[in-house]
Amino acid sequence: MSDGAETKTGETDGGYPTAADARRPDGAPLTGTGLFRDGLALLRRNPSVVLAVVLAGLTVAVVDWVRLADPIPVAAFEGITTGRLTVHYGVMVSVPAGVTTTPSALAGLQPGWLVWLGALELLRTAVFVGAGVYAFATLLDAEPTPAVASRYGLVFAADGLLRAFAPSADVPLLVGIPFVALYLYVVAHLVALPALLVEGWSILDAIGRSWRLATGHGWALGGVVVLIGLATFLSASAPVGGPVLASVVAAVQVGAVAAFVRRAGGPDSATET
Amino acid sequence: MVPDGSLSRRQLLASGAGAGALLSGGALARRYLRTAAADASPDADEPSAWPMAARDPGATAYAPEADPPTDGVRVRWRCGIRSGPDPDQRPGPVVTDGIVYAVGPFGSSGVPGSPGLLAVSASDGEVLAHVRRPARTAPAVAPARAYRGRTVATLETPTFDPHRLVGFPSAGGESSDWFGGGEPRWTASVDADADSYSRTHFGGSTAPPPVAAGDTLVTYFRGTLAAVDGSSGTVRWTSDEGLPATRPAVRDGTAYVVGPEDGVRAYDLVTGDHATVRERFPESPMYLTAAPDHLFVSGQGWIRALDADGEVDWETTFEDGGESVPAGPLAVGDGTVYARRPAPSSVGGGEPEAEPTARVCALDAADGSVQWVAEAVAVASGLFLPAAADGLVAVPTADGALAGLDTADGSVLWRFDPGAEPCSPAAIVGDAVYVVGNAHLYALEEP
Repeated sequence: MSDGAETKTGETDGGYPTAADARRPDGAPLTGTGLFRDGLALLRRNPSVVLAVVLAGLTVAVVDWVRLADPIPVAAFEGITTGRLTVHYGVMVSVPAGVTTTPSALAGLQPGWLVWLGALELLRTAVFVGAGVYAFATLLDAEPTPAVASRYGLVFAADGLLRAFAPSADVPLLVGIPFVALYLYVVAHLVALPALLVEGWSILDAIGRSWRLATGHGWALGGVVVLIGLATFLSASAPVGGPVLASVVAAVQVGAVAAFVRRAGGPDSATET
Repeated sequence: MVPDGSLSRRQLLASGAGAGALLSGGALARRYLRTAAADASPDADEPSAWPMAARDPGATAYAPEADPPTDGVRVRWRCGIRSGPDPDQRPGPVVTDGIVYAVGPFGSSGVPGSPGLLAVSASDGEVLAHVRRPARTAPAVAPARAYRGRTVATLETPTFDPHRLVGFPSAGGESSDWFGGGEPRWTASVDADADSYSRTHFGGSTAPPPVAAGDTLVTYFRGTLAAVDGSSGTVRWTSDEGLPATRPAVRDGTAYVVGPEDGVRAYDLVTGDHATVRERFPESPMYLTAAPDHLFVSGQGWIRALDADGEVDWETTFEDGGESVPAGPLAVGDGTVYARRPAPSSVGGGEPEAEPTARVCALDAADGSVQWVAEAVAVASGLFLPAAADGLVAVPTADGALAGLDTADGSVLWRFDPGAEPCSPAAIVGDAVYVVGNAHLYALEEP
């Protein structure tokens, strides 16, 4: 890609390009709208990516459906019915599960049901890890090796755990604004992480590179995060088939992230390290 | 290079097959799970347990295997139990697997503050777990298919929020979570509980307590009858209309409840389908007791015994001195019905403003004939719920004590009067009687 040369102007001490002046070949600056447009174009040319992500969403929906019939307590995703709006953006592409199990429901479970629960959670994780690796590998022309899938799965699981056990609190709007801004800042700088993992970067290098690629594109990426996060939340709030609807949004997220990495990150690049 | 690739027929077919396999697998899994749940045989009646208010699903309040104290009582152990402010409601304790569960006394007038829910070793009174929750009825202990321990369910009835049934892990063994944050295993409620309803006091509570029938908990969320899975807390079904909330009586997989127009309905525990047992009674039914041979329906001063076809086998009405008290809740066992009837008019003094006082009486369960009336003991009004066993009927008295009556003639065998605050209904298990009174949970035994 031609932007490989352009990123040299933004190199840091660590040798990572900041991609601050990444532009399309036609010279247009990087914007959120442009990322969506480019991402949708990528998806149009690769409909199998959409299909893979939607199948993963369908799997999550079926697991939810089965969980509602088993004897283990579940907590339902309440979504918009709580009267709140949430930016539900997952750095590692996924959809909100319709039902989850609270930690208090795990105490005293019989071993057989613990295995059952673990297997279903593993299935939910595995399908989205598989779909994510396939989708980014297809859109970025990368090789989905077992090592790549392992690293992707590890980060996916860590991200899931972090979000499941992250503390939350009801605070006044003015108090909450700095936290929301910090959240958006961090997440926007990690937008490229899943794509870079699939490109073959190690976990730490992928985080560092994602941070540097995002530098200078905070507003554009913040817009992507907010729009994708809101759309995910609203679609997952649907009373029936929420995960399937949310998976369509997840496919758009994959497209937008891939478009960003293609424009800002250069053609390859695990080899840059 | 920008990748490009349209969907091949093979990809489409594979995706369609994958989606079909997913949906079919999910449907099969659900079917298996539901079949397994339906086939799970309810626990056999535990001979040495009193796992819910009125002891069993049928509300007989009769412990046939117990060997209760009849030659007086003494305190085996006692432990403090937290009360809510200004308590005037006192649900009785329940006992299962050697553990006594009790809700502390609480106020019914909307006073904020929660009583304690306590789990105590039945053998020595050691506190195993406690949590402060706004529980408003006696707990019900149900099996939980997915867990090593049972579920202890209590009904919480906030004034403005939806009512909810809260399931905790049973105390002891692996389940020590109670000691921590008191996080429940599950919380069940319904989206739209009926807001037009009436409810009948039962055994020291203003709301009917939940009933455990096998692994199903039957309860009311305001006026909505619901069956809740004891393991997952999933609401299996709800009644399609508001009903007067009374303690359901469950027998042979059927929950009997008071219908919307002073009749009696029967709900299938598995499906929630209902049928009418009796269209209407002359007066509003208040309490139901499902014994093996009869379904007893009682109201203000009357009892009717229905046979298997819902026909009235016998009926009796108590009329003394113009006063009227609810005949129930009943205790039924060993061919006898223990009920409440008005005191003779001379006892009440005949003054209109005098509080009605009532007496325990024993009726022959076969024909309703009176066997005896315990004239020496005035029984409590809101706290009345007899607990019966071989040779003993224990009832809270109007003066705040717990009285043990001889089942043969109604004579007083003993009285237990712990102090200023009245006693709750009792639970009889093994050789002990358990009761909450004067901010303590007591285990009583024969001296």
